[in-house]
Amino acid sequence: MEDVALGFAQAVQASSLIATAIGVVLGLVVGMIPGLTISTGIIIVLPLTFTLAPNVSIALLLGLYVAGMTGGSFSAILLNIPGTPSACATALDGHPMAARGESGRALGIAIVASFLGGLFSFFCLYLVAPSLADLALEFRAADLFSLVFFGLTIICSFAAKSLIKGLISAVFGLSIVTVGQDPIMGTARFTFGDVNLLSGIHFLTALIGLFAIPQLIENLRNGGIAGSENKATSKFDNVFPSLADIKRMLIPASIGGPLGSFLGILPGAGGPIAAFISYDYARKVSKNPGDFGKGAVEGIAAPEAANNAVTGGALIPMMTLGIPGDPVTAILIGALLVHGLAPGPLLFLERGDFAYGLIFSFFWANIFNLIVALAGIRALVKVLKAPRVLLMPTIALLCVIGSYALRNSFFDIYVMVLFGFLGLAMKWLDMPVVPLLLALVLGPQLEEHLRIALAESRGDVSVFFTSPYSLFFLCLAAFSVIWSLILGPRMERAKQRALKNMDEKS
Amino acid sequence: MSMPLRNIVAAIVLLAFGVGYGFLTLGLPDRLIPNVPGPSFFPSLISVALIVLSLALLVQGIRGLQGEPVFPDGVTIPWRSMCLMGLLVALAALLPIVGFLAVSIPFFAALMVLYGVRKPVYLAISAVIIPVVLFYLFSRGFNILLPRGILM
Repeated sequence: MEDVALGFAQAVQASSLIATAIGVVLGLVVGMIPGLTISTGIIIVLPLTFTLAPNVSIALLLGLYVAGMTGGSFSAILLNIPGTPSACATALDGHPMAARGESGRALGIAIVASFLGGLFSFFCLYLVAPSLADLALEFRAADLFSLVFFGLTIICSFAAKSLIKGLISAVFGLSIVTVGQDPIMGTARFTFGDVNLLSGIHFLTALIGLFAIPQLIENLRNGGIAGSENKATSKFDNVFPSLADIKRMLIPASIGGPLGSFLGILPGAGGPIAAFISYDYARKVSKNPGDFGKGAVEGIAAPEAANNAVTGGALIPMMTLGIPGDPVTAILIGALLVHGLAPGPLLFLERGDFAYGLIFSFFWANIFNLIVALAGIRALVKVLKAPRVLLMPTIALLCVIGSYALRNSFFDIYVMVLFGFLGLAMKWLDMPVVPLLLALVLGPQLEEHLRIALAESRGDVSVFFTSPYSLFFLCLAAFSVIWSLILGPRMERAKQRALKNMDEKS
Repeated sequence: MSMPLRNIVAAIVLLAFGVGYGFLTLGLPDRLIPNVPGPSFFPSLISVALIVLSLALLVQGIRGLQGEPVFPDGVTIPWRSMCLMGLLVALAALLPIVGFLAVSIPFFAALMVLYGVRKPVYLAISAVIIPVVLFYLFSRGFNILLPRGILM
């Protein structure tokens, strides 16, 4: 209880609240700009957080994460270009409503639904995370190995096009984490006598190169000068939803909230899937399913509640088990490690105040998201007209600063550029980057727990099947693979059909 | 270049990497303590997986080649993308010598040109102001000492 009070006190410190508010503004802006993902936004902001206190730093990043989801819906509604993949489903009804001159109403519904979804996932996070962390303290090395292995099965859901390429990406990532000192005995591996390589390749440096550089190139190809103005962005009516709209939002939000929170916990499911499933369910329970696709209130509220609920859900395995639910939480793990905090069951035991502070900062992020988005929407939408000719070179410089600032090392800048080339090569090959990212995050733990488990059992691999927890995680891993390879493509086809219908209508 | 041919090129590169990685793994100590997997245990698994997966990609690429044009028409060389990467390499190489400010201003200007800016005054003002603001924001505001270079 003391930790809860301390955590709450940390989250309501002026510095934390200001950081959350700044994070929310940045998140709305990043989410809104098509071509910039939340992952890139967090990577850009990361170097700013190195010198901040951990609770302030995480408050800023959480604000960005939560608001990024909402920001994505702005461009989806106004321009029919989803700012983030999670906002694709929102465009189905959001843009038709905006196109008939009700931009403000559509945005207001999206903002309030996002808040409801986020709030629900906060309660899930607050209630589930501490209990799960308590349970996780009982895990032994074999259980932890199986758990990390389960976390790695997220790879399959990002390798729908080619499982071989997804696996190559992951295995290549695992080979990168073996560079440096081995985690058990400290033997130098693949360092070629270079001192810089002794501490290994820094996860965040690799990340900047893999994610941000290909995005700079992508924006170069799409034409640098943006600036979109149409009927939907030029004029707004009232953004505050009417009582009638709020009533219509309750059922879809009550579908999206729990669904998004649950899917957020599952590795790999993520915002886009949650949004589309929620949209589909909302249409099924609607009295007027024919209105969907033409600007239905429920069609905006359901996916928005779901994709924002994913954020809280994804934080549960991240905080309690150290397993990322999506790429953004993988980056958040890296950000916490920079501050010397290792997410996992021990976080609640050793730094309970920080863990609860994070949970309450998530709550404030949702509150600020609602206030800032509703109050500042007119000013924020001007970002859609901002020239990218300034934004992209600035991002390039921030990538360089971020890489250098991690360890004040030029070597990290070279590594970042090298990973930029790798990211481009992977794009050229249509090879998913996320498996590599996950391998970089989970690889060291995978090796450590595997070797400790085998050492404890004197080389007997049956230890992974005799421990009930380990067996449970291996079963979950099998289910996750089946889900990704069989149900995932089905969901993708349903999504493509919905997007095709949307294109035909527009 | 068609995707199957790309797969073949990638498979050959990865196969070479996997074999090289496996060869280096052989040089690592094996079991330093009885019954405890040594530092080479995990890399051994990775090298086997890399070689097997590269071979699978090679087979996939060869199968996909049948009936597909190897070099489809209309392929253009992405000059601007290559320029951007070249600029990043130049920045990384020059940063330790001339420092952040001296290298980031021309870098920023060159990127603006790549992104399509043709107005010299707008370009010059932006390319000076933004790197300078970033430099002072990080070095003064966040106490992150950016490189000043050995020439300064």
